[in-house]
Amino acid sequence: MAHTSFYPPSGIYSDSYRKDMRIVKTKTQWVLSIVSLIFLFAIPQIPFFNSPYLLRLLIGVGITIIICLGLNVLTGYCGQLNIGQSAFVMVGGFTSGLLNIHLGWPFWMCVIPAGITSAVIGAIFGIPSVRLKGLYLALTTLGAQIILTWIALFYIPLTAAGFSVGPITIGTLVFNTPKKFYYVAMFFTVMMTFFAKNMMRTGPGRAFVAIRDNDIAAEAMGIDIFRYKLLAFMICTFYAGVAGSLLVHYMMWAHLESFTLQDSIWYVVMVIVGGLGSIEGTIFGVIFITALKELIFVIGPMVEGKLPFLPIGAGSGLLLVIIGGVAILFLIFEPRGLAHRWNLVKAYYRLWPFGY
Amino acid sequence: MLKLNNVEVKYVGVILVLRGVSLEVRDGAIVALLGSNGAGKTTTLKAISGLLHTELGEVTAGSIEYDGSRIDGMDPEQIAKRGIIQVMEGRQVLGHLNVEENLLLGGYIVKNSDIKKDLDMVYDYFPKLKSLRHSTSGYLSGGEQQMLVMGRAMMAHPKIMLLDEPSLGLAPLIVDEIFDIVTRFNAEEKTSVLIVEQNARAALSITEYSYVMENGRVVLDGPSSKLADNEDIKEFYLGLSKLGEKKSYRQVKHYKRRKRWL
Amino acid sequence: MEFFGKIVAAGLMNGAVYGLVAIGFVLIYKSSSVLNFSQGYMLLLGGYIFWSFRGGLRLDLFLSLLLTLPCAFLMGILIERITLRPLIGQPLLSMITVTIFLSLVLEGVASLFWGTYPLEQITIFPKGALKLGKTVLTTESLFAFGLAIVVMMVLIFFFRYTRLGLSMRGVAEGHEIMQSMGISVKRILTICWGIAGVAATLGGILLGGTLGFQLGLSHIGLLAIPAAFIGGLESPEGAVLGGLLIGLIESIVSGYVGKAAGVPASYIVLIVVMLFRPYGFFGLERIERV
Repeated sequence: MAHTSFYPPSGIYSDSYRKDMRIVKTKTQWVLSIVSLIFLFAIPQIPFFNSPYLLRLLIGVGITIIICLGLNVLTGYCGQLNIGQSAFVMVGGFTSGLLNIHLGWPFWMCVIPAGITSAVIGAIFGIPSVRLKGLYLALTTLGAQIILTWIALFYIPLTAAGFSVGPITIGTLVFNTPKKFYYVAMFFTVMMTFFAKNMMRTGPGRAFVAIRDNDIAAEAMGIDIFRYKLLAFMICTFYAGVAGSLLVHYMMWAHLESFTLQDSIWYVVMVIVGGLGSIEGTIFGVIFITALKELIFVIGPMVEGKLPFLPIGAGSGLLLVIIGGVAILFLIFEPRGLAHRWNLVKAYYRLWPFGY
Repeated sequence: MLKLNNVEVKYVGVILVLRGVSLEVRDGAIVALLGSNGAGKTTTLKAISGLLHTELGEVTAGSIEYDGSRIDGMDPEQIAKRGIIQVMEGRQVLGHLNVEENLLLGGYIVKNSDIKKDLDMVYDYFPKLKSLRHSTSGYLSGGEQQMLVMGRAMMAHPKIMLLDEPSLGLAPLIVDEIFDIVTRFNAEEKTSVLIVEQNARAALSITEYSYVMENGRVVLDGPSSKLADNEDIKEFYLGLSKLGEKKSYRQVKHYKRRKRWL
Repeated sequence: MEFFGKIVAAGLMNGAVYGLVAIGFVLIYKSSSVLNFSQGYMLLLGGYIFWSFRGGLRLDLFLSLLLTLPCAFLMGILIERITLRPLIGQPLLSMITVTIFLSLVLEGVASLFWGTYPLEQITIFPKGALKLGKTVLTTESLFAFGLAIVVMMVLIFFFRYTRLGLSMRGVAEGHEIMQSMGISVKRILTICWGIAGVAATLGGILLGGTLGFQLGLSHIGLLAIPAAFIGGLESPEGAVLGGLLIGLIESIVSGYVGKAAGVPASYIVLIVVMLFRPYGFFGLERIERV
């Protein structure tokens, strides 16, 4: 035992509550976080990494991460299902776009109202279902997807056809190319990730988990289930709204096509594959599914070419079968998602050489 | 004959609940399993009936034999088909179904039987159920529900009936009635009964052999009449002092009698 | 008035089909508390399978039906075996999520083998028209209506009066109790999915016959969800009435507001009903006593 003074015990030990609640727990983590942040923002300057294709992909990943973080707060922390997330992305996107072109508000003034509008409309759909015990939110969000798309298509002439939106500007700086927009996207992604990560340390965050694990017991402990379930759903839709605002200002074009039921299901897939209730997991999930999707976009047409007996559109079918299949396999064999694997790796590293 | 040899049960692979339980139920006997809360009585029954699997429990050592073949590790459905039917604790009726539908489901596994005759048999044991046959079982009183779940088990013509706390929360008169019916059913249908009880007095009075459990072990066993005379049993389960009288606070001793088996 | 009569007639016709599909949804919800979001896609795939026999191989109508129904039953069973059986013991959330992912896979399978374009139109029922006062009914939709009603009656009779139906209702009450009586819950759940597959497929055939076999059928299949909810998620009879109601609402709204408004309107009704009658109109009251 003489060596204990030389070698601190492996693993992380917290001797106070404050220490246990820290987000970044060790010096190594501090160093790694800062290095990876610098790397993240340096990517557009690094040759080979800064191809427009990769940057566009990364921007897409960043925005999708924001959408999925909201979903993970709702599903992973609070245990409710939302299969209409892309409708709320749409609400945020259109709100932001309309404010931009009608009132001339710049992006920076639109993004928060976009999130809030999305959250308020979310609340309208959330209220009937969150007061019931059970997973009825899935039903009303499915309704939201269908109803909101219909309203946008038939009752708002501008959104039905799609309209162009101005780019993001700061002073004279215009973020109109992927290389420039990348910084905005990453700024928001990092900020929203940090907020989500921090949420677990707050009272509402703990209330969400209590509701997820046992709603009756949570109620008995004095947690107002209705309020917190609604809050979780509003946070979820707020994230969607912010992401939607980013999306339309990035594409400089707002159109219904990017907000379908299938997109909503993709988001659920990403959250599940990444790992419920895990922020890192959400990031892994989005990257994993996006990469898989890109891969199939390459392979799909090849398969279609090789197998001429398949009908037109078989490539898109293949995509659905593979992604859906992967998601189902994850649910069955790794219900804690990629985040669980990640934690195992981390634990192995930390506890080495005493990993037992 | 049902025989448990040194059965050990773990929940979720880590929580050791039974630590080597051995007991025997001869054909046609009524056997009681007594013990305080958390002693492992219900777990023993679930180990026999196989319902343990639904709660992530497992028989990790020892064996459960019925008529010479091992039944531990079998699915609850298979075990029930061999004639071992458990009546679960807490009057588990199928709430939205009516009394007769509950009974019919009880007889679901019996092949080529005369359902009508079986129903009449149950109504003969529990005349009250006959008048309630079309009422929704979820709204019956506690005693009626207990009768219903027992009647439901009878429909399956069990060779062994595992009764889990039939007296739980029922009025003494109803408890007596239910225990009378158990003895009658045992005598007429030649069904062995393994009965788990907290109400030791009632259980000892109708059984021929009893086991006492504590902390997942069988600590005492013997013919019921003998156990009823045992000092420890009297003290801890029957609430009687030496003289066979009710204890009065005047006579409370300042030291506690220790359980000798611990 | 003539227009209104036509709309009501059309609504009831479609509504009967929704009710049929909703019965499958209710069956699964009742026995395992799973909201099956893939019901509309089971309908799509089932309809496509039928089309392959009838339109692809040009088989006789009854022969194709005879071949499709076992396939549909098998489809339900396979879905249960492959995706839901391994999730027993997992939280309900996982089970419901798996049905959502299943809808991706089923839609993918449909477009992988049949493509994304609408399939060739086939006639299933004899064409003709029947005059009822001033309203003209096509025999096609009358046949669909009649068949849907008959199948629904058969299913309801099945739940009420057969041993298997009774045990399905028992499974809805509690899995452990049923196991203690020696009834295999897994087997019954499998059969429930099989029947849900058949109900969805019949719905797919009937809808496909009138609306054409195309990927959009899955969306119309999703109308089974509001139908089942309005009826009360636990009651097959409620599902039938909910289906007819949703059919009427959809048809009236599409007729007077706009063709695309039917489906959204049904979901608006779902939300309103949820607000005021959270357990639907025929749902089982919760028995809460200690």
